[in-house]
Amino acid sequence: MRGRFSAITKATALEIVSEPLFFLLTLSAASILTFTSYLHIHQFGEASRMARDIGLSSLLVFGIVYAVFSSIRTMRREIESGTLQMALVSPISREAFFLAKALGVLLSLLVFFLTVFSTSVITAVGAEASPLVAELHVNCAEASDCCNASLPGTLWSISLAFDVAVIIVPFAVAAVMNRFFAFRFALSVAFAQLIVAVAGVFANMAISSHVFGGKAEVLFSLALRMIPAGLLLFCPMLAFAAFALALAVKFKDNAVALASLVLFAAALPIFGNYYLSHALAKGGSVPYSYVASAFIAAVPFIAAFLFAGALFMRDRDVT
Amino acid sequence: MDNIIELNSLRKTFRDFWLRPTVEAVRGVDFSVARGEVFGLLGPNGSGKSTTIKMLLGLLKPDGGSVRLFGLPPTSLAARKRLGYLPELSYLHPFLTARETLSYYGGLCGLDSRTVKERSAQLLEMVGLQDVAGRSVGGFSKGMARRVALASALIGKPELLVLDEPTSGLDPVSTNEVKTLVKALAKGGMTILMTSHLLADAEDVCTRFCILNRGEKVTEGEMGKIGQSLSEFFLAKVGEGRAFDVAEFLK
Repeated sequence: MRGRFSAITKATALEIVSEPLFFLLTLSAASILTFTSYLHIHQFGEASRMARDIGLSSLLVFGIVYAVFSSIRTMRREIESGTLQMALVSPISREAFFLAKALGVLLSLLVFFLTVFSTSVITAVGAEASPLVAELHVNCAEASDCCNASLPGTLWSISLAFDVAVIIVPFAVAAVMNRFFAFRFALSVAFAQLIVAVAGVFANMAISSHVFGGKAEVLFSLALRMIPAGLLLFCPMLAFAAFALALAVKFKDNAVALASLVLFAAALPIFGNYYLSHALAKGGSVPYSYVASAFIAAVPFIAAFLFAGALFMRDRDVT
Repeated sequence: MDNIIELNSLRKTFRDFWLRPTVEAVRGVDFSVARGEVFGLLGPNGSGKSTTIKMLLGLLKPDGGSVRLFGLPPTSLAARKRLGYLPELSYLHPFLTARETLSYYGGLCGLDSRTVKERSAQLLEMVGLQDVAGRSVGGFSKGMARRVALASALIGKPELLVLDEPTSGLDPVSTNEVKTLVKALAKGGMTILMTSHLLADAEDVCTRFCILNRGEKVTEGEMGKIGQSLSEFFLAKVGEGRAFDVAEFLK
């Protein structure tokens, strides 16, 4: 049974991550986040806060759009292309098939989440480092040692290189993997994006630690404070994915998209509890107990959607 | 005789969103298929063959009558473990390669990865796709996709193989290959149920047949005992169809 379940999960995650939608959304989110740092005119002196705000809101908005549309597409494609027929003739129950698809969607959401969230952390940390760089610049100017005068510029270049790498390196890696090892291009981009973004966070922190010494603690603290805030945003992504996946078993694409939009509008007031950028801006942090209680609160909704989806799947005629 | 498939008074009516009946696709069909037979479910387009097959496979719920597969309901996992299915159109995930497709369906059959690997290699060679095993099936021609689908149906080494229009859309060479394969599988002891509206294909491979028309069973018989060609027998039972009056249109 485990082998059957994992075959469906794997194929679903592979399918979603290879989709142009995944490309488009991760790339758009990463690009917006990356170039936010360089739009000084719109920052009103609060570069770091703006980076965090854009990072977390991108995660929320792009995350929900991604969760809804990838769920709709994977389920409707199974039904409309007929692959569902082939799968349901095999010895796996319909309910297990649906849950395996849901797990596949969850895996693809994790890849999306880690990629976009890591990019947000890189950008926010980079923006938070700006005053430290300026301070370094003043110190250099006051000191007679001119050999360090170019350091801020160098740091700026390194930061830009990091940000651009998040976008360009995955494509270059994917091209090499595709050309020389016959790996799928889309899949390679997705995983290279993930690896580059996560590695970027660690590299960024290591360089900050080396350059700023003890003052880098501010940056570490910010990165650590962003983690629970980001995790919190994973709850609505999961709930929307389960909702869309369940409805897609029974209804057509447009109807499910419309229902998801209505749910989004209805849930907007609740999102205030999930979106904690303001608290972060005030130097606060989100306790993990709050994240845990948010997940616990989301579980009954997710379970109810998945249960409904499994029932829809059990009862539907496959033509 | 050991019957693998038993259908009794099977009925199916399709309905619209408001549950109003739109078409009565199958009306009281019954037949049985014994172990080792190659059984042809024949009939013109729209006669209810595919709907009958889908009820047999548990994909559609019958409105009446009963279906037994290996003596079990068609939704039973134990029955489906012994089943292979080739649908009318080759439904494949376009992003998977031919090898990955077989691996996916092997996984669905509950095979371990070593067995999947071995059988995939054998099947890809058998259907002549070993050279393109690493290519995505989305770029395959119809004939190649059909071969991959056939290999997918066989990966679990089923006792019963259900083929829905197996030669549909294939060129004469591929058609001949499929027919040869079906005969070889039958010789190896596999029970085969195939639907077709191509009578020459059915005549070549089937031992017994049942003819459906407008959702009803017209007749059932053995291939060697009809005393005429299947085509003549079929037209006699189902009707010649209407002649189109094109002369008026062409004036």
